[in-house]
Formats: sequence, structure tokens, C-alpha cells
Amino acid sequence: MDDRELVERCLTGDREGLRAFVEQFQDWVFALCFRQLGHRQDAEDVAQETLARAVRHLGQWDGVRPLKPWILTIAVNRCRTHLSRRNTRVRTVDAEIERKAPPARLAGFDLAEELQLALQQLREEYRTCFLLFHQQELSLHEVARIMNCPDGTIKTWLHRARRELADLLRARGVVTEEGHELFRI
Amino acid sequence: MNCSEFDIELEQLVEARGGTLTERAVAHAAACAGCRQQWYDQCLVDAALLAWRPVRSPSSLTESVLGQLLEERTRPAGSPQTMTRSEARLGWMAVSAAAACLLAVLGIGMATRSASIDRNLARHQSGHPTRMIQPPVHTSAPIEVASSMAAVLNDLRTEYRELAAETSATAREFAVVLPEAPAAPWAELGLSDMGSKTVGSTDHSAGNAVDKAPPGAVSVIGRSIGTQIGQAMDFLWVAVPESVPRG
Repeated sequence: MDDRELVERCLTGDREGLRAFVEQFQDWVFALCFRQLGHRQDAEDVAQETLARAVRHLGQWDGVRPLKPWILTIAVNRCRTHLSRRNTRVRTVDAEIERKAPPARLAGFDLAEELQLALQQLREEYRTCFLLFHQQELSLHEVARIMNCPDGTIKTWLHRARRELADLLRARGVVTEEGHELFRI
Repeated sequence: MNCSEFDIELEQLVEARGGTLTERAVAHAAACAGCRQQWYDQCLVDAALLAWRPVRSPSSLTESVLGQLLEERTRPAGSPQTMTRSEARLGWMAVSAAAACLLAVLGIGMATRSASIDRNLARHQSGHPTRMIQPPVHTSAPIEVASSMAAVLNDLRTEYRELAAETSATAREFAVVLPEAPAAPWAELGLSDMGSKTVGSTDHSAGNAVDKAPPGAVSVIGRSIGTQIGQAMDFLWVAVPESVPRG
């Protein structure tokens, strides 16, 4: 079923169409929310809110554009709103990250967890840009449309995000000078 | 190749989501520590990205979204919005905390009274009269023992009835303090109906139902708990006999 057909079924109130719509997009939306917020229950709430809002406003979707970036735009905005409401909790997470920082080598680390922790320390724009490009595998142009910025800005943010992440990983001792040898191509 | 050209090539690799550096870039990195460090850093981020496991949404998310949409459609205009999952969790935590406090108060009360009864019993056994009960004086030994037992049982009855009365009052206050909930959404969906009737799923654990509970549902349950405790204590009040026959 293509996007347009799916949307038409939802707009007619077809319950199975709605279910198909939610099931098709919920993993992408939840994954983005989870990586963006770094908190599973918050991600569930925001993902639910995003999908419900998307269904409510399906009539505003431009059928010429793909549906996924449109829904992710809603998710990004919802995450932004949620983060602005819970600034204090983010600071708590950050403080926790700073407290545990043991110097160690790559082998002793869960790289995925380290990346998630480092990601929470990035500026929100960098984090969103990084997630949309790498996790959601959108093109730079699609990311630019979602974030309502020029393509050049998105490129800059993406590369800065990667550099900052590498700095944070190194600062946490995820890799040392010798450890870098592991990554040589 | 200079450092700027190396930067550009490295960024192009990132934007293309992979690939390898040209021979010239590798030669430059071998000679330039700064560029080599950048190269390694990019490889480190890519390795971390590879280690990222795919994130799967919770199985209950579909039902939650569909339940919310259905509730929005059936909700009368002007009524409050659906409770989010975290709000429902907070509500349940509040009710659980209140119930735990009530039980703790009950426990402390019973323990205190039990200790008091033990002390009274010990005083009876040691021959010292208690403040509350004056043991009757009898001439024959069996009648004296029976009267003492009756006195202790009467003491116990009094304590029990007092405890029942206090707990009943507390439970009723608990029920009264909680606000009245709007009946429509809760009655429409029904706790056991949520997830099954509304969206056709048979998986509706208590946790899911709580998560989907509409506003006021927690109050309804809290009031129900308070009322039920009150009723149980009223029963105790009636069941414990007025007095224990002596002798």
C-alpha cells in the first residue's frame, strides 16, 4: 500500500487503515524520539502524541511529498517541545554522564551506550540533524526541509555533530591514541 | 593534498555514507597528525553508529495511539483531554502511595494496640490491675481465671472496635478527599474494555489499561478503594460482639 492510499483510508476513518498507518511508522517515530530524548517512557509518550497528531492532521499532508519526512517533522517538533518542558531532567542526565567517566579502552565499553550518552550532550540542532541523517537515513536535503534550514547549514551541523561526538567519546576514554589503531581502514 | 582538501574529502565520505579515502588523502594523513586524528575520529563515530542496535517501539504503542484516537472521537466537546501514559503512571503512584500510607498507619495502630493488650495481659498474669480493667475478685480459682480471661477479651474487643472505627473514618476521608471523576469517558470505555473492544486486541494487561485510563479514572479507583476499606471496617465493627460473657 503506498502512502497516498494509506492516507486516504485513514481519512475515511477506516480502522484497519489507521492501524496500518500507526504500525508502519511507529518504529521510526519511536526510535527518533528515544534517541532524541534518551528516555524510554518519555519517548513512548512523545511517539504516541506524534502519531495521534499526525493522524489528526493527515488532511494537511502534501501528497506530492513522501509521508515519512512529514511525520518525522512532527516528531522533531514534539521532541523539541518536550525537551523545553523538562530542561531540568536533561541537566540531571548530563550530570550523571559527567560523574561516571572512567578512563578506559574501547574493549571495555558498550559503544552504543556511549554514543547515546554523548548524543544527549550535543546541542539539540546537532543531535536532530545527526539522528535524521544517520538513524533515519534521510538525505541532507530532506533533513534540511524537516529542520527548515538551508542544505549548507545542515551539512555544517552534521559535521560539527560528528566532531563533537568524537571529542566526547574520547573525553570519556572510549578510545585512546593506541585504541585508534583499531579503526584504521 | 593539503589539510583543507583532506577535510573536504573526509566530509564527502560522510555525506556519501561510506567509501574509502583516496591514496593521496591517506598519504596526507600519514604525514599530518591533525588530519590523521580527524580521520580516526570519524572512524570512531562510524563504529559507534554500527554498534547502535535498532530501536523497536513497545508492542503497546499501537493500541495506545488507536485508543487515544478513538477516545478523542467519542469524547464530548469541552471535556478534558486524554491522560498521557506518564500522567496515568503518576496518578497510580499517588494512589499506591496513599494506600501504602493507610496500610502503614493501620499496621502501626495494630502493633501499638497489640503491645498494649500484651502489657495488659502481663499485668493480669502478674496480679496488677490495669488502668482500664479492674479484674473481679473471686474466691474460687477456676472462676477467677475465667473472669480474668473475659476481662482480657473485653479489653481486646474494645481495642478492636476502636481500631475499626478509626480505620473506617480514615478510609471514608480518603474517599471524600479524592475528587469526583467525570463519568462519561470512563463509563464508555470501561477498564476491562480498553484495548479489546476499542481496538480489537486481546492483550490488555493491567498496566496497559492503567496507561490508557482516561482522566479521573485514578480518582474513581481511589475512591472505590477507600469505600471498600470503610465497608470492611464497618463489618468488623458489627461482627465483634458487644461484650464477652463473664464466668
